[in-house]
Amino acid sequence: MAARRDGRAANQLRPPQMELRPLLRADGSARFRFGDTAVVCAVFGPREPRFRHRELFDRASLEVVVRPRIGIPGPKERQMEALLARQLEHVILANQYPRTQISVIVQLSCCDGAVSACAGNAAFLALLDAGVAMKATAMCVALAVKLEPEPVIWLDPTEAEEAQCDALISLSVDGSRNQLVSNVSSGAFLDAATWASCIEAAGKSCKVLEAFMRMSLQKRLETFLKPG
Amino acid sequence: MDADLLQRFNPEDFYRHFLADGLRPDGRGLRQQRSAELQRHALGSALGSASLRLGRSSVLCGVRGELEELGRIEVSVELPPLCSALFREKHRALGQMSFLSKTLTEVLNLPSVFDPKQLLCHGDVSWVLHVHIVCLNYDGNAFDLCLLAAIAALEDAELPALVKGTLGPEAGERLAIAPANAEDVVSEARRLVLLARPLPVTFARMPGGQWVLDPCAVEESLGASVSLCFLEGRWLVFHQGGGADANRFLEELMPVARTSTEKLTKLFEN
Repeated sequence: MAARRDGRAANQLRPPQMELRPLLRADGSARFRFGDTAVVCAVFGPREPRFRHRELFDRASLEVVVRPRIGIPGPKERQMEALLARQLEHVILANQYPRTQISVIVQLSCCDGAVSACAGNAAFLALLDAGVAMKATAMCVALAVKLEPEPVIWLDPTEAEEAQCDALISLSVDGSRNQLVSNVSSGAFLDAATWASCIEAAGKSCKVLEAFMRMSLQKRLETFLKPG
Repeated sequence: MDADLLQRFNPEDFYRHFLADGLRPDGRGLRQQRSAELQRHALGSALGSASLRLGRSSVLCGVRGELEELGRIEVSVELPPLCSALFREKHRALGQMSFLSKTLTEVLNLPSVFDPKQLLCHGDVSWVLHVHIVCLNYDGNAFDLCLLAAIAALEDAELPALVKGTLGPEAGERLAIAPANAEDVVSEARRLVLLARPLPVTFARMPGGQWVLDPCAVEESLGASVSLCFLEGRWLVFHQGGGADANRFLEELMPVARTSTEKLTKLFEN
């Protein structure tokens, strides 16, 4: 099996890091890192929609904006927006906030592979920080598959590894119900065995991420509630 | 309550009544496709073209060629506000359009689908094929519709013969489309060949948890959707919007997808 350049095992994540409320003026915000990939996300709302035609009479409308590290948003960012919107729609209990709008603004601050997974996690944490009601915990991971000479699955690839690989898959798993929330692949076509092992690997690492998130939130709440 | 009102204001409940009987409001079974209608060579002025109808959804696809250095296929999908009120908001349409354009470009440029060597015409100049897809009427399942139309248009495309140019200062270095019966052609006229057809299948998840094949626009709006793209026993998955049982849903859908791709192959062979 080909070794990874940074010495990780094939099924090892880069050290995740999370920070709640780095931005004080948003209703909720979060920063999420996977190694050198970092994303900041802000959530505004539920608030009155800025445009009347966005108002839905029975639920909140969700707006996702992705801003690149430099330059103006292009097709890649638009695609990430559409994907994130579908993913978050599944998680947010939108019918608890009729006739409002929830805006999720994602700022990519450092890109070194697995960007969309990192953005998904940051968006989820920011929604959590804003106190938006959600029905599931959906964490995201990215996988890179290399078919030659033998199929290898690399979890949480860096940018260099993404360029070497044949297929990229970004998965989001709701760990408690063992449900796939989203699964978007690009590159080479894969067979049944590879798919099964990808989904299994993603499910396991999402559980790990969820445990990490619970632990760090618990720590944060303890320091919050400590007197003095 | 009036059926029309219920459908508009509470589509989930409306659908539940039908799904309980294993039917959909348009009369189809859960695993039944809409009838597809393919017309090749729909446009006279393009290198190749096709128009495809799937129930009430329809797209028009044309292939345009340009001479550049690196031969490849570039797909651009357009979902104008004309095709559905869903895309009145430009922002929403852009996300869908760039997803489809990028994915189709990737799939059609795969070495197992298309051999770029056949685009080479003279020296290091080759054809770049721009595949433009315009949705004329949107009623769900854009992925299947666009991919099938693109394949049909590419199979229909014929690259014209080229001669050395005779006009302008750099005439000798430029290439021009050969007139009929030209003798000194540098690149022969030829048809495009696809090595394999990647075939798409799309499902949507209904409120009760059943998956329906070939969803219409209302069914797509009710929940998650999965698009699979098959090529020689392997596949790509585009699943968005959640709610799928991680291990089982692909196993459950796979046999249906297989029979559906067989039907699509027949569509191309007619």
